[in-house]
Amino acid sequence: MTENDKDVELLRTNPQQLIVKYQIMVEIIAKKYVASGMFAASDLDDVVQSVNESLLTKLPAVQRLYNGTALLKTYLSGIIRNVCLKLYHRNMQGVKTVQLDESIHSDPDGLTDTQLIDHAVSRFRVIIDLFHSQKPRLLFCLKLYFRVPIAVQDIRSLYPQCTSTDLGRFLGPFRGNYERMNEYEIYETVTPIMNKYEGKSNSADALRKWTNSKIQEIILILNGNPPRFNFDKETLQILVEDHFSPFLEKQ
Amino acid sequence: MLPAKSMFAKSYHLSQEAIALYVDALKLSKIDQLPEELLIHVADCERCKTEITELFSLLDEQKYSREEVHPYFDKGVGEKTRRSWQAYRIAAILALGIGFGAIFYYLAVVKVEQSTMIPAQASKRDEVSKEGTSVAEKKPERAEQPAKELFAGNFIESPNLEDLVNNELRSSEIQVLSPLNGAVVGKRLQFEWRGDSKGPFVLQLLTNTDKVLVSRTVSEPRLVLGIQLTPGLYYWKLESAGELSYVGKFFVK
Repeated sequence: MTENDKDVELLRTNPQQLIVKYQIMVEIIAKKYVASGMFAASDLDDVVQSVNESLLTKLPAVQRLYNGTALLKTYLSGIIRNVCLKLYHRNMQGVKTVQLDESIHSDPDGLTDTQLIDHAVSRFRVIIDLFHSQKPRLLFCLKLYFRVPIAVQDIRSLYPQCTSTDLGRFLGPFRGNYERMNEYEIYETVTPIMNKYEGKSNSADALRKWTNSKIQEIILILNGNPPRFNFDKETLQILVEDHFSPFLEKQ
Repeated sequence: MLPAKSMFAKSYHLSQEAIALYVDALKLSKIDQLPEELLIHVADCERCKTEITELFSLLDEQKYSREEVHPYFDKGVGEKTRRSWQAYRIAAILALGIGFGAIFYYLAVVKVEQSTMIPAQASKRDEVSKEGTSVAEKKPERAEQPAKELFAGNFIESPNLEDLVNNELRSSEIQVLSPLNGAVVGKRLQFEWRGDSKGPFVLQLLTNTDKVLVSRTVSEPRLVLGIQLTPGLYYWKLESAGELSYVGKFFVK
């Protein structure tokens, strides 16, 4: 019997005991939201208590709605998160939103700088993965936007059937330092080749708009819901460069 | 496996459990095993991306073991294992059935065939002299070929009729002129006799298996039959005034 099977059995036979078992998860999530400023540190116990009370009332719905597709611990974590969010929205007036840098130094349970960076890198990579089939195109456009040198692997992963001639056309201007190239020049150069391999007839401006909208989306998701971080294009560039650092070719 | 449609809430976004499933996929590096519809929706949906990212971040430090069977991603593994066990069981039952069938066939068919084979020397009863009271029974050897067996059978003596042939009957006054007892006759089958009796006579021609081939009533003491007989042993009976007067036998070769 797997651990998930045991949890499912507990949900069926003794759901209150399941909540007892997952008290640790309730506390971990509550602490994370306290650390992010959603709740005051002094309210941690109250938050945990409120979450438990809410979970008890939701148990019949959980028994009815959970269909055994996902792991129960992940599913319950999502429910705990939703309960915390509802609690946050209900108590918004009485809670002070703390800036991220203040919360790090004042809350002993908060993340250190290194942990924050790792956390941000992890979040960024997950967000990029969520773009699924758009991921190769997105990464290529992010590189172009932030003037990160283009590597052969970037083109091969995007267009495996790319000819050596077109590969040269891609890499020629973008292999090295092209920070002096403006947006117009960049998209005017790549759009015809991309249209060729995608079977489309987009304009350079359409590609620029698409890239900008994706960047905005990534920043929004990075900052969280409710917004807890202050990522912008500059910090996003750091994440992008960090993501591609193994691929940067030596000049 | 649940259909992809059931993973969407009424809001046309991912359900709570579908979001959890996506997070499981990220933690276990099994995104490629998610339904295509799910992946396509999330790729274009900021809201679902946000929900997934938030839940994933909450579980960032939680360990997810790839060894443990996942109810969705490893469902096929469990089913495959169950199916392969079922296949083994069916194969074992079939093998047993075939084995038993082969044994049964060997015992029931092959053995029986061997036991019904008549040995070269058939069993006999004691043979009695011509005046004797009993008739020897001879069982001919079984021919290797069915055709030979049938031919030989035509010459087997009829126990009933042989008795009558050898016994003296009422009609000792009848003298048979043709065919003589045990004679080999040709194509023309002529029956002729003489005696005190005036007739009418009833003449019957029989096979060695007591089957009556011809039954004729004649007023004269002779009869010519224009039938072609297959080689074998034949008997003929002569009756007059309702009583059996004579039984004879002849061969056709």
